[in-house]
Amino acid sequence: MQAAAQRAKRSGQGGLRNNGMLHLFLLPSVLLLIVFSYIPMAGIVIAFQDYKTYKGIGGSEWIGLEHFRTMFMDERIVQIIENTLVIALSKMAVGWAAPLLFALLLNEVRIMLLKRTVQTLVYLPHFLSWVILGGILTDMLSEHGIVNAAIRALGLPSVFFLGSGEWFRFTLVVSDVWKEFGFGTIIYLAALAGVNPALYEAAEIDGASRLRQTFHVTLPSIIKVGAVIGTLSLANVLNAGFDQVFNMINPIVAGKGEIIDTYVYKVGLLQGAFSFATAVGLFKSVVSLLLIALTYRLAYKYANYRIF
Amino acid sequence: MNRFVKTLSLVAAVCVLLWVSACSGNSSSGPGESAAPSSQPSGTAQDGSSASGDEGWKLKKFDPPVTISTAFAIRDLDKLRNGDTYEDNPLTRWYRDNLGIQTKYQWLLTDQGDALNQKIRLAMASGEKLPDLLPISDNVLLNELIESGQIMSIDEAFEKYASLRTKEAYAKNPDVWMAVTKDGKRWGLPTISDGNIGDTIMWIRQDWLEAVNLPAPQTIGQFETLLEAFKQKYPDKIPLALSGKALQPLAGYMGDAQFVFGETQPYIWDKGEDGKLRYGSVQPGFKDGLAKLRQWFEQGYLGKEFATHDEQKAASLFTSGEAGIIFGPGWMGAWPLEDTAKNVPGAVVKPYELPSGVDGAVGRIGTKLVYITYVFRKDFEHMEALFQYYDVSMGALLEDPNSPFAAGQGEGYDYVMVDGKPSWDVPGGAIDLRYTMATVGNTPPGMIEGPNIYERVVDGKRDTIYEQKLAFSSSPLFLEGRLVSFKQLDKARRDLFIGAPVKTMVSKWPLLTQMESEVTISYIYGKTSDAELDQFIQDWLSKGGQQITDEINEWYASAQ
Repeated sequence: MQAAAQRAKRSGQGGLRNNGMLHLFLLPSVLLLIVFSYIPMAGIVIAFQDYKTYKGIGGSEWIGLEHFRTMFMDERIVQIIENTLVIALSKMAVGWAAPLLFALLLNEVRIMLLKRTVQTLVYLPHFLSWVILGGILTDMLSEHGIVNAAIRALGLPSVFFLGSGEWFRFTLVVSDVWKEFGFGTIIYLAALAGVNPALYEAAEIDGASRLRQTFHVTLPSIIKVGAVIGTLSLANVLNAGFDQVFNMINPIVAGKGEIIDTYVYKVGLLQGAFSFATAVGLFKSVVSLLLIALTYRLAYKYANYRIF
Repeated sequence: MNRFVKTLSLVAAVCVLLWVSACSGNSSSGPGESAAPSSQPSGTAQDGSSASGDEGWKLKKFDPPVTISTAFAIRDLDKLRNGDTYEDNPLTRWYRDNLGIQTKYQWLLTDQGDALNQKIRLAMASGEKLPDLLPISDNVLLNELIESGQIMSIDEAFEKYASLRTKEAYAKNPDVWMAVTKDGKRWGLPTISDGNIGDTIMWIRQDWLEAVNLPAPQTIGQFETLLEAFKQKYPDKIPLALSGKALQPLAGYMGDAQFVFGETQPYIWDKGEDGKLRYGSVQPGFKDGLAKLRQWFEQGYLGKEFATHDEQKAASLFTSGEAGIIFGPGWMGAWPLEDTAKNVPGAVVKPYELPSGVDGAVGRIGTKLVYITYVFRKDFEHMEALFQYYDVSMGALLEDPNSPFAAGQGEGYDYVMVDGKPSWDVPGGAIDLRYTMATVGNTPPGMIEGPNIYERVVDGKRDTIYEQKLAFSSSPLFLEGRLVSFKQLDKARRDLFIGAPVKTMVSKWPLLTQMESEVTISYIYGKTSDAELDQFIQDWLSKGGQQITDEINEWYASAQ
């Protein structure tokens, strides 16, 4: 496929002349991006100012790295960054593996109706808001909730999921993956449908069991898709999920559960702290950018895999 | 040629689509943000001629009419009838026809996500002219406005133009000026709350009380006995519903534990013996209260999961019959406690006064005195008209029988006339008219002599139109609850720090409040030791708390 594209490029088939229509279709989105995402980036400058609304950007005092100094002098910042990284990385890891495994399993189902129904059902939680889900989960995970009832039925003592830092992180990861894995599943299923059946037949003839077929035929075919999804999700390395954490956090678990975004929100609540909130946001973006650039580079070097 | 036409028409189609979506987007967000200006149901005005006792101050009509511009934040409930508009409805028409004051909305916004405050900040940054009158609910914004020099000080205007009863209301509640005083001048007109709407009282399941054969507790010792009795009688229920997940963990707007702390209320800046302000949560009395709560937790009176319960959850524990006692404001009688009888057959709920706390004294956090402040654009010239307007809108709040808004704000909206008498059974439902530009907001404390209206109505009085109105529109439980909150008014301890955040607060306050809520709850859960609690108090002071206390006391001294 790469070779064909390269040939097309050389022969002028990929040029503006022939694909002008496609470029036009892209134009509104690009314009939107430029106007609403790129141009406002200039406002980042308020992270280095003591911004006062009535003075505007032009008139506010320049204080350089003062906000960053304040941020790092807050002794909780290290813990908060740690929380963010742990939660975000766990979500990324589990959230990458879960759809893959589920798609593999679902792919084995022969009854099409069942397959389609399950596909739709797992996608539904994505549309729920954390405001609602937070309340539902709090009830479900409580002492009298379903989950603990099941745990007790197994003879184990009930778990206060929202009462300890470690369990809280566990709950965050598991509930978030549950909510979002439907999307990845659909992508993987589509990729799985594209696997050449001849490969399976060949493997069967060679005496491979179902399990070996999965390992040697299925997985290699969709690992490329997996790599794309995984690398793209890296962009979220410092996004541990504000909506979710904000709705589910409580004072006991705050130590291990506070993330950068909820911290910025709390500081922002005191308002007039626009500059400070921007500074923290800028810090987050810069770190994410560095990590992503690093990972893309590594992916290219060791797996010969390019995003761009 | 063909290809060119095709391309061109495609581009044209795309452009039209973009333009149409942009336009409709704009128009729908056009009459957007609603500011919440003076929007109180009690916006009844006093008829000018009955300004009895107001020597020298008279109501007058402005001819030619005066226009005052302001902003309005529209909510879903703000429906109009009979072809009225926001600027032309029974309320605004009265002021125009009788006082010659016309309301004009320079900004019409939808009341979503702090919209008005954003709009004001944008206007300040871009140099846009502000409306004459703006209601401000955010202390930080108020400070920014003062510093920007775009609003005027109102000392002279108040002296010159305020009516006698306006002056009386402010003389009886002088603390309200603190938030707007800077450099010896007053930069806005604060509204005055009724001083107790959010104050907490005790709500108990009366049927449980009778089942255990105990009277309502008046001391903390009796309260504990009651908790134990409830636990014995209903072992799988929670005696006391607490909201540990509230923004201020033990002082949420429902399900708080304020009474336990007696005179040393947490989360507020109260005056100490030396006359200086100090923060309640780091005083010795706070530790005692926490120790008591920890004891109760160990004995199972609070339920194991109260730290995950926010205010609504705590209330729903009570309304679903899972809990026997909850603390919360008097208005809870209307919502949500009304549902208790529906959910639990045989449930009877009654409000009671607070018992004394660990120090033997009764205490609760007092409702803020000021919710909204009106600020005026720098070159606004019609302060006299404004104070005329203000006096009229205060009338019904003072239960003035001659107020033109005694029955309601607008005929056809919150009342109708039936056979010459007002009826509050409005066909189509009653609608609150919130278009009063400037109103003191509530009945200011100290302005009504004798028993308060809730007490009168509960006693059965239906003489004045106000009593009839209240009786019609309120449930008995709501009235009882409000009545009880008036009872221990002198025990309410108000937060005396009502200025904008001081310098060190911006960087240190989130850390301090975080430490506070974590330590508080984990101490009750038994996860923090006494030594660690003491350490927290030390840390609080050394990590910025002492500095903030000093800065706040500087403010306090300057705002007197």
